[in-house]
Amino acid sequence: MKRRISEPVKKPLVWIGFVILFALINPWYFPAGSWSPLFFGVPYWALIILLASLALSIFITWVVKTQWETGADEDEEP
Amino acid sequence: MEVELAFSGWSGILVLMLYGGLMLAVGIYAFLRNRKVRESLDEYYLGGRGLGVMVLFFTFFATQYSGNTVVGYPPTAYRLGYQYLVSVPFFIMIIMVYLLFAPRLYALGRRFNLLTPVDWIDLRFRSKKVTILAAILMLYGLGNYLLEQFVAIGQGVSGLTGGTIPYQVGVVFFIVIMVAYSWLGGMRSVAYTDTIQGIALLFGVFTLLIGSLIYLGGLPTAAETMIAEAPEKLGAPSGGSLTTWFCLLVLVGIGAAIYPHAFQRIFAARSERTLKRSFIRMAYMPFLTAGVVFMVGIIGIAAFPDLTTAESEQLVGMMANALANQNAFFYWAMVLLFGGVIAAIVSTADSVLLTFSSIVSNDLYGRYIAPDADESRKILVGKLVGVAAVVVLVLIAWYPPGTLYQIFVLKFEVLIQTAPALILGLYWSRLNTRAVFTGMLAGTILAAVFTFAGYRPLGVYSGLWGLLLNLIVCVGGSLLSQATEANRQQALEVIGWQR
Repeated sequence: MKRRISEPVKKPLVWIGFVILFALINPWYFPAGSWSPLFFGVPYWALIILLASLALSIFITWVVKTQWETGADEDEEP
Repeated sequence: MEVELAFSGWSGILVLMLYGGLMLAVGIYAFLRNRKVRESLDEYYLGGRGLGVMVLFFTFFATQYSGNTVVGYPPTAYRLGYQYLVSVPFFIMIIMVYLLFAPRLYALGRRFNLLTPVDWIDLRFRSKKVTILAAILMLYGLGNYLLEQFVAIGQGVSGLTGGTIPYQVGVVFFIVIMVAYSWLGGMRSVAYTDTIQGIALLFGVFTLLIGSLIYLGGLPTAAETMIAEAPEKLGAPSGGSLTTWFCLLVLVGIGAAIYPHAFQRIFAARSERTLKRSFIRMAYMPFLTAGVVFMVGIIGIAAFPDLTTAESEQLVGMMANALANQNAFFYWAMVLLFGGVIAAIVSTADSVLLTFSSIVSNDLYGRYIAPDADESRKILVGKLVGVAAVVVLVLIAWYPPGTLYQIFVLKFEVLIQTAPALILGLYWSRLNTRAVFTGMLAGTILAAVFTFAGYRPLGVYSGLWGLLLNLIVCVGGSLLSQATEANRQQALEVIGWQR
């Protein structure tokens, strides 16, 4: 019997999202050594990195909720 | 430099005794609730594959966040400034890497009753050579990891009690407690105590942050100090520090997700739904833990300027000291923080030890030495070998090598070499057994040689060079000489979804 199976690793969208977000959580796109402006003492680039990290967490949540369905537990039902 | 903690002495001892007693009580509770725990490998090592969301979440939490996160990360943030902000995203990377293999692995774990990571490698490759090499690498990595935890327990205990309890006594006391509750309830004990320990740790780091913000100055003060004295700590990374940032993301992301004890926990989930919900929670924890301790380290830059590297290692102790002198609330909060730190170290150590024993029980003794032994005997052998390893490691811990950070990288370098077999094997039926073996061995040797020689080409960590070679050999070898048709069919039967 074929079950409807969805694995994140086989979804191009998941890979595209991960690659983009991975690029964003590396601080290569800021001028070297720059820190101004500061927000409450935190350099602007650090805030952007934190926002990108949060975006990654949110994307992970979406992937887990919608792209992962293997029905593994149904195997146990008689 | 030793910091005399203001709260050291009897209150520290009291909290440690309370923690010890509580953990033992949990062990006894887990034992009484399930007396069959000593008769079944599934029950002892995986909690009967029945961990719910909350407990599963905290047991994952304990594998990723240890006492070292609290005591070791702020000094690093102190020395590197915002360059160490990478500690937040690298913990998120772990969950991202999990998503690339956990869904299928969980399903296979259910279908084939997998118990350990080595169990999976054996099922997939059916090669004694690969199985044994993977088991040895994992035991070595886990052993190093355990050693690091023991060193940290001793330092934590003697720090908390102001040397009233010597380093050695602290280590022995907590190891005895840890072994006792692990033996009593197996994975259930470990997971329940992980939950208590995780809550204690979270409470501790938050009070540390709040106290630091109130009494030691906030982030703007720290920024002013950095502008005046060390603007490089504030500036966006470039060149070498950008490479370090990238390496840490990859190394920690892959390394921590395939830690044998982290990997094994996937099998312990009660259901797919439980596993998913635990992962979602884990995806946000980096902000509440790594983010918080990072801020503590940054605040320290202004509060305790001009510390040498060795002095800065004591940063958290100094800050806790300053807070404990303020009032009774922070005094007790700091006692609890250090108790929580030690609890967190113990909770990481117990998970590691349990996985160590499970590999011995199931993969070495149970598979090759006495396949016909009953499960209670296999468990007993795992327990005894585990204790023997603990004794050897404690002896080594009396003379701790190097700084904590270097050991941290060392265990990753070995463990990460099992990644191609563990993950690639899930998806690629043509993966050739000989290529996997050669790659794993070559990667380990390269990583070890580079590490010991202190050689780091292009600034990239030696573990990643090893992994790269490992991958090239695995993929190249498999493309050049494919798995035989029989092996491929066998692999497809395992990893294909057809039943």
